[in-house]
Amino acid sequence: MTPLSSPEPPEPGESTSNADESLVGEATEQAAEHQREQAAPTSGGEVEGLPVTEEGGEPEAATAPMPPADLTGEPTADEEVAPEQVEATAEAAEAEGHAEGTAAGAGGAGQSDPGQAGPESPPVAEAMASAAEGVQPEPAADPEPEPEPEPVDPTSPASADELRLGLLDVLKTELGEAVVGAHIRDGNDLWVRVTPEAWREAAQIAKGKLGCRLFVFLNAIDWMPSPYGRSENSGFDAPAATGEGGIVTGYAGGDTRFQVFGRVHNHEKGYGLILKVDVAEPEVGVPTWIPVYPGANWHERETWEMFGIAFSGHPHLVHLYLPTGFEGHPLRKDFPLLAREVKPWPGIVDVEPMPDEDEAEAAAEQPATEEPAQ
Amino acid sequence: MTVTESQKLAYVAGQAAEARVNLEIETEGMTLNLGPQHPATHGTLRIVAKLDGEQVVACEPIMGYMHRGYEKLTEVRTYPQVTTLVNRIDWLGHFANEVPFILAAETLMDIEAPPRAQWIRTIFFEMARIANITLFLGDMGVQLGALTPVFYAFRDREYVLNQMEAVTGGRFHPNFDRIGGLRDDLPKGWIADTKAVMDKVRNFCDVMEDLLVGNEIFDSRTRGIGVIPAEVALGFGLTGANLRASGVDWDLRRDQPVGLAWNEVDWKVWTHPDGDSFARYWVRLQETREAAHIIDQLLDNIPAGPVMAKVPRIIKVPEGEAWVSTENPLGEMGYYIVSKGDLGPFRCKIKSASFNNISVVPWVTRGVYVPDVITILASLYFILGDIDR
Repeated sequence: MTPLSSPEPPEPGESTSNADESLVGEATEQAAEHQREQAAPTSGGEVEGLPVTEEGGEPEAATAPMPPADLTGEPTADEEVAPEQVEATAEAAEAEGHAEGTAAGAGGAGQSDPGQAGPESPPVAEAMASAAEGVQPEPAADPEPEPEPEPVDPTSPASADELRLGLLDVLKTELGEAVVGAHIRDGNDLWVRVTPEAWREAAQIAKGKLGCRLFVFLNAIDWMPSPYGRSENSGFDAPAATGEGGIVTGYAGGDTRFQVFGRVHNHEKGYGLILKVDVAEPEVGVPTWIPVYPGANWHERETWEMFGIAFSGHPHLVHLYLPTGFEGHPLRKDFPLLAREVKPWPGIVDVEPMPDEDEAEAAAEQPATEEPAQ
Repeated sequence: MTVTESQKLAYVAGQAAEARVNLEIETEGMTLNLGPQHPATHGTLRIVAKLDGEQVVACEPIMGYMHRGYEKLTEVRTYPQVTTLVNRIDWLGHFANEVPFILAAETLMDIEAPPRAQWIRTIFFEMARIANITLFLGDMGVQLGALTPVFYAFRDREYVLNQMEAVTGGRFHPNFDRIGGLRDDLPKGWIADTKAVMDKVRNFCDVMEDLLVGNEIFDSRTRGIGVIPAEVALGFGLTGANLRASGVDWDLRRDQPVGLAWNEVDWKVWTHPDGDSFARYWVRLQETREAAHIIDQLLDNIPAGPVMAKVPRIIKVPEGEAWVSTENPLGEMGYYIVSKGDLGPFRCKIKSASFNNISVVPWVTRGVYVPDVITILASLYFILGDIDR
């Protein structure tokens, strides 16, 4: 499958890793473990396969002759056996951090607080932790599955949804490494992230091989947290981090601030899928979908004017809604909503904290809803 | 999905129009501006058509006169506040706009409305459909010079709106749907009243059929005009009656019932193979009847119980992404919500039906006569608020 096929490429941008790991140490580790458990069933094969080699217990030897687990496999073994080599371990842990970030993204719980704690400090801490824990089987399994199956994870999400796993398989066989992320909500929906080069090809496959002939929509997301916060309930969320630092992408992961996403539907079989693509440089953008779905024309124009994302090959990329001379891209998060800046939203009253009994009531309701937010 | 004769002709007409552009024949072209204030536009849609004689060779809709930036506004609203906004997207199908948004939020929160709420939602959804489409059924006559139907339409739509008002307090903007259920239960005596109104709706459909369908002028102005083959309709993302009028048997109410009660009753999805303006009118006419039929059955069997599930007082939607769409009066309407665990959406992509439906206009108007542009626009049936959002 893909453990080898998608090794590093998705990782580097993922360095938006887990600062919380360093902060909360043990507790978070457990949380992470929990996440991994959620993600695990996917790649059951890989996960199980690995511990065996580990327990087989020739880790030193393993470093050399572990050809399938190239880069990522080695550090694991190092970390396991030789915690003294802090640098090596740090590397491993870092890799692990990346991988975990990806896993979290794929699991839909990607709420990591990115890199203000440099990559150095958390891994060291982790190395210490693993050193302290020694050979205890539990943590042994802990660092274990991460470096290895994580590269797999982004494109093979945990799911029991045969139909959507099948769709994903078709896309993966056709596109190969161009599929860099996927997420399935069982019985509901499928998210697939592809590389920009494969963006149009993915649409062609969706239309030709998956029968998704109905074009639904195409648009973009700006993942940067708004530097202005929500002006109507400002006490709740102070302006979040600006710039690349604060970016946390959603289902199927992502490496860039902007993502274009589109949905196509198979009206005969009754399923659809959401395709996503990273947009590294908005001015360059991604290839247009018009040759595949003519209806993408206006959607791309809208995306272009609202986000400033270009579509190469689009014949008529001009303003759709806004006046011709309009400056700025309104749906970007750093475009201020002036009406809110000028006059605070009166709706603020509605969201003020409620009396105590309601809080308790809400708290009783919460666990289910709070859980993924962590 | 067979390609009929008239669909082939549509292709030929389009190709002929393109050939004319390419050859740049001697005749001097003319640019005709329709709108932005045109009765056929249900708002302010401007259409710039390049003509060759009496025929359109290229046509470019220009919109944005009513762009209100709802996608941006949702980012500074809380979830319960967003329903107020989305009410105003398709202002004739008011309640139907709220439902997919609420369902998307419920999907993320893993909440399901109680059965009674689901049934009442479905009833209101279909009433919104009737309120929306009755206007189309009358308005189509106006575009062809027949003024009478639209007065009947306004009169009979009011009966439906009165029933909505009796429950929600609003004729046009009910804002009645809540995450987890509905704001209120039905008032006493409402069910019997509504049944009487459904009789009026059926009667209205019969009247429209008498007045327009089979009328010689109506037939000659709509049959074979504005033909959209199924494959083109799919590629442009047409949905709703426009797609079904092209022979595609696809209705989200049947094919993707998302927590609403359509599966509980007996009804039929109407399609028409022709794909022309007449087919679009005919399909909507049947759909209105069918909607009345659905409501009648639902009214007979509303389950008892609460109309509101237990939800937190302060609604925070957990992190995640969800896409939910429903079969709105104008076609598929959906919301793609990205939540970061906040009080409001991080990003809310509003996919409205009319935007896709109208994007086929440049394709379908190639080679048609100028007066037919009006009937084609009218038959595609769009609401400007639903295009511009």
